[in-house]
Amino acid sequence: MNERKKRVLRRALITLAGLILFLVGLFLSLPLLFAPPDVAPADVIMHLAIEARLHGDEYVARLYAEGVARKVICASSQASWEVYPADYARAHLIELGVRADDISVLHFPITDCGGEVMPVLISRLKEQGAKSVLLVVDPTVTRFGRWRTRSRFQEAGINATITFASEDRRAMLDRWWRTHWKAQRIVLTLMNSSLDLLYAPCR
Amino acid sequence: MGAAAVTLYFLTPLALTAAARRLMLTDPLVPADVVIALGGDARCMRERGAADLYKRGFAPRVIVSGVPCAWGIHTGDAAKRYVTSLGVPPDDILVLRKSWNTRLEAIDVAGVMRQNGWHSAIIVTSPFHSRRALYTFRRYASEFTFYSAPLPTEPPEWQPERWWSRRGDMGFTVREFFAWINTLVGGLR
Repeated sequence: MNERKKRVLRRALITLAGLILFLVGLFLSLPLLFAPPDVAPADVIMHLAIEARLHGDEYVARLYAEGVARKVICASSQASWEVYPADYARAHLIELGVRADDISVLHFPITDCGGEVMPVLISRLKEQGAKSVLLVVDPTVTRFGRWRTRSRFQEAGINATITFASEDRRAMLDRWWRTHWKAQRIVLTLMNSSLDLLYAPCR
Repeated sequence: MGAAAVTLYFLTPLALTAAARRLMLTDPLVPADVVIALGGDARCMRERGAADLYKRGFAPRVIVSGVPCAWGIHTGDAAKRYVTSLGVPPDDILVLRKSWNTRLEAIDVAGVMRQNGWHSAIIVTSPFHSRRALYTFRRYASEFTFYSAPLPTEPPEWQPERWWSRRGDMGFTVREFFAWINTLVGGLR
């Protein structure tokens, strides 16, 4: 093998090793990438973890029963034709013991862009005169996503704390690489929070 | 060096648009036993497209697909209600109830087609998903004939031209490239 071929081979091996190291590093650091749950008393619980596979409804009902907040807003976009999961989460919360008068519903537009949703949430909270909110979210929220959300709410004069059902986080990270929906969810979270940074209206 | 940079500057957008166009596959429209609206479209444009083909006489039945979405609701039932509101009789609509991804949809559809003695189907989905959908259906339901009839590439649907300049289209395109990798390596369960 001549010198040139050796050099190309060496570079290819170094690139491959770098790629493998990056993937292994990402794989091992995934639990660190995600934010831990953080609970604090608030004026309002905003319930955004509305999904059949999550235990968001039960978790919100538990937080309400513990007196963490007196009001709950169930918020979602459309999941199918004129079907908003937030409406069903409200019915479920009533069944779980939350007073109907304490729950309202917010519909927001279909978008992957975090920056378009946050003003809608903030506007509703301001209408209700809330100064603090406990956001109950999908368990794949990243540390960066949490920081970004808190900053946006802070700018609007609302103190935001972000939490999720810890059993959902455990279930999500349990052998996620072998399950389609878990891997899909994790990839989408990482992709969407990265893409939001590239487009001004989404930041 | 300068010439290479200029060439790269002009060729990259063309190559990226061409790569996105390769995600699409459109077959000539022919009559089939059933038209399938694949799930995952919250705006229900796929269901609208399937209802349109039904009304134009390309198939005598419609399959819609969905998943349990929140407490007490199933997106498949909502899709059926929508297709009914567009003029398709409820008896001509079948709902797939656990179609969490394209592979499971293909397996479910194969079961339904086998049970009913159907041989061919038209698949309606978003344009960026059309080639992978057809590939998956041909792989997991190989005894049947499938035709791809994606939605047109007009707003609010995905568009391949300069997809990287729009947040929504960027998301769909990158996600679809990941999904192709998953499909080609055999797919997660």
